[in-house]
Amino acid sequence: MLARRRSTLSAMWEAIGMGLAAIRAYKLRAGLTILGVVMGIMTVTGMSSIVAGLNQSMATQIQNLGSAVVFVRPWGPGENLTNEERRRRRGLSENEIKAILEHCPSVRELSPMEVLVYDTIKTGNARVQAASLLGTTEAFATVHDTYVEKGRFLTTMDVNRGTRVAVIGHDVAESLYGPRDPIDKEMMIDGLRFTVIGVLERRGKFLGMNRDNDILVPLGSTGKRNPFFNFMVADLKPVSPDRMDEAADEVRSVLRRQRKLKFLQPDNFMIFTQDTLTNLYNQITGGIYMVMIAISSIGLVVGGVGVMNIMLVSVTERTREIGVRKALGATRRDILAQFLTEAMTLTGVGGVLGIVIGGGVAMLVNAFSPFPAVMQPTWVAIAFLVAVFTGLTFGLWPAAKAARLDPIEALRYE
Amino acid sequence: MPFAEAARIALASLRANKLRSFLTVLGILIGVSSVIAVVAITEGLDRYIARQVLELGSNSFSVQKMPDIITSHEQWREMNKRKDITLDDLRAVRAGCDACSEVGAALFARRTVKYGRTKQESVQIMGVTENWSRLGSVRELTAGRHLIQDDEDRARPVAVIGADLVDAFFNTAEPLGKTVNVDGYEIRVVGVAVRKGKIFGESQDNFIWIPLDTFRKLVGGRRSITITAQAASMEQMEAAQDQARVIMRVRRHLGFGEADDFNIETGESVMEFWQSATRGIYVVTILVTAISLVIGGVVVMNIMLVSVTERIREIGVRKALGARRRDILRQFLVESVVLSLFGGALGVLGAAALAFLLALVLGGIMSTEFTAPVEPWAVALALIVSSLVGLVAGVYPARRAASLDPVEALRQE
Repeated sequence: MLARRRSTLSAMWEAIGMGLAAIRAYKLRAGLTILGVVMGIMTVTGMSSIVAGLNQSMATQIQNLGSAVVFVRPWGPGENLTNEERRRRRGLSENEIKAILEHCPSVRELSPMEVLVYDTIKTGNARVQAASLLGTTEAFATVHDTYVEKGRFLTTMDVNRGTRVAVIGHDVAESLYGPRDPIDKEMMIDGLRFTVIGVLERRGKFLGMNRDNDILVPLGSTGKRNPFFNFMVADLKPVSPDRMDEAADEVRSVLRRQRKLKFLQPDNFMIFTQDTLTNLYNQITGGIYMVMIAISSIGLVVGGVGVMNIMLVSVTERTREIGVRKALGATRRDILAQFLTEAMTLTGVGGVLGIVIGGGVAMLVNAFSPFPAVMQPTWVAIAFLVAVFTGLTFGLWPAAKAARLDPIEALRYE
Repeated sequence: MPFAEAARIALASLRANKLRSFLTVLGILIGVSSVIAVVAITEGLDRYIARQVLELGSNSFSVQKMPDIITSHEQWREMNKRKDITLDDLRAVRAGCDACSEVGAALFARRTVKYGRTKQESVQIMGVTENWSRLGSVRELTAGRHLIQDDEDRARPVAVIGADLVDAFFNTAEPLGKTVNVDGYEIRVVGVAVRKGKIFGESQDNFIWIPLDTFRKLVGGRRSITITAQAASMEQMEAAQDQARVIMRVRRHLGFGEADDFNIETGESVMEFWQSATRGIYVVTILVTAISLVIGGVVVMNIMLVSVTERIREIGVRKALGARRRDILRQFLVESVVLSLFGGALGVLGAAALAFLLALVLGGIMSTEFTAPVEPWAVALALIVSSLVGLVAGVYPARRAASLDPVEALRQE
């Protein structure tokens, strides 16, 4: 058994050696054949690294929303509001939030957030345009794993008293105060005077939304009560990450009871986690990515046809060689293996070169275009395997043709 | 050696190696057909959008509070601060725009419409002037009558309904004269509009037209209307838009340097947005597919080199019998061009089939009629490009053949 395996192994090495020798013998021809495969693999590698890069940047963005967070919202992500029932949905009420805190043992912390609509936020002549104003509590920091860089965060006391203090994001600080230290400075939110008590650390972007543009004020401190525009949502953190589902279920049952939903009525709110976001993203982009990779692999197919063509020529040219081999006792399988290995060596070399060049392309794309391109080991392995597999598929027929040759006929062939 | 003879020799040698020629042609075929199919699909998508967008009619435009395309929440907030467009504005445009043949207006809302116990959700309620159905592309009725001036003047509770409502409420029963319920108001059906189908999965027949003033009574009048006007002719389109703009600017007392605080939209602005959004994707896709064409060229070159090596003796004989370098060069170039041109021609056929199938699939996904036309220019381009590929790929092998020394070539085993 062992001896047998060694003999197959050594036969394989011999076949690869012969393949390389054949490549060397016909440098130009082999070079051109490899070139086709190189270009095909290059395109596939480049495309897949762009796809992988986009996926990865999305994954990190979702991660940055805070670990193990359950979102409670009127609508789910990506739900369109053409449906009337959905458009009529309201945010959470204060009673509902109290009820969740009281009746959900798996919820460790809950940060209510009131999305506030405002007209102007300014200090002196400096204004902020795109800031999002949130009324929230001290739990915001722990739920979202967001901490202040300078100053302090909101405290229970601030929230209980509705103190007019604000914690602001980096970009807000920059546009309002420039290089000056914003702590203890004042800002006007729709005519109300707020004191800046802290600056949040940088949080980056999510889905093109700048998250350094937040202004956090204690819940209720602006005194705004407009149920049409200001609605309350909540993010919460379970006691431990593996009790996420439990927490979500508890919140769901509490909210259903609070809203007096009957047995068969569907939820009129949405509870989701980061997984939902990831799934949604994959669902939206999966199809497009598949199409892009499929389109980029057309080139590889053409390259494969080239390999097949050259292998056929090679078989025809080496008919005599095959005849001699067979006459000296080579079995059909030996000949098949020889030509298959030759084809796979060709495409394998092409694959390696293609991956290297594709990696270069990915680096260029990364440096000079807005797309983040990343070479992932799995994709590199897949690309190499695909290259070898191309050799296998397109080499099969020529190899079979060689193996089928009658030694007598082959030897007689001029 | 005349060209015809070169072509004949080329064809003969291609026939001699059928399998090899077929595989080479296959490479070009795959390349050409995927490029053309991709072009056809993108063209089809563009046309599809254009057809839907220009629904508005090619010589009609609308004056509205906000632009059709709003890209950010901030922009929306800015736009929302603008003044509403009022019925007085409509009257002024009607009176002052003499390049316009028709001026109408509409208000939109989405409500649930009931008939007995059946509900139809998210119906687009449109309060329209009586000429609405004639603005832009004319919408015909399958039964009943259009809204008339008298309906508008008296704010009658009458409606023209879309085919979806007929399906939901009346099925095969007679819809005319029945009353449907919008927000608790009874409205009598007087007409049924022709079915239009779906756009991006959004039904175009889920609507109900009621007179403008009826809408204002039912849903509320404190909304910005959309004025839609039709230019008297295609040539007067610009003039009509200018007139409408001037009228609105005068009414709003805008100074010379101030920007419009309203938007005039034709289908073109949506079209431009679509094109700018998709152009990058199109170019990348076409470039990526074009790589396969280049690879096809590499395959052709490779095979031509093999062919030259195999036929060294033939070349030697030819040269010995008086063929010049130019003759040999031409022979192999023609062979390579014929090879890839053939691939290109087959590729056009392949593309037509591919585009047809893809269009069927896409049409199925979007649940509409969708055609991906294989453009004549794309066909011409494919043929030209594939013969160019053949030419470029053939130059090196042909030169190599042409530069062979006849003595050496004849001695070759």
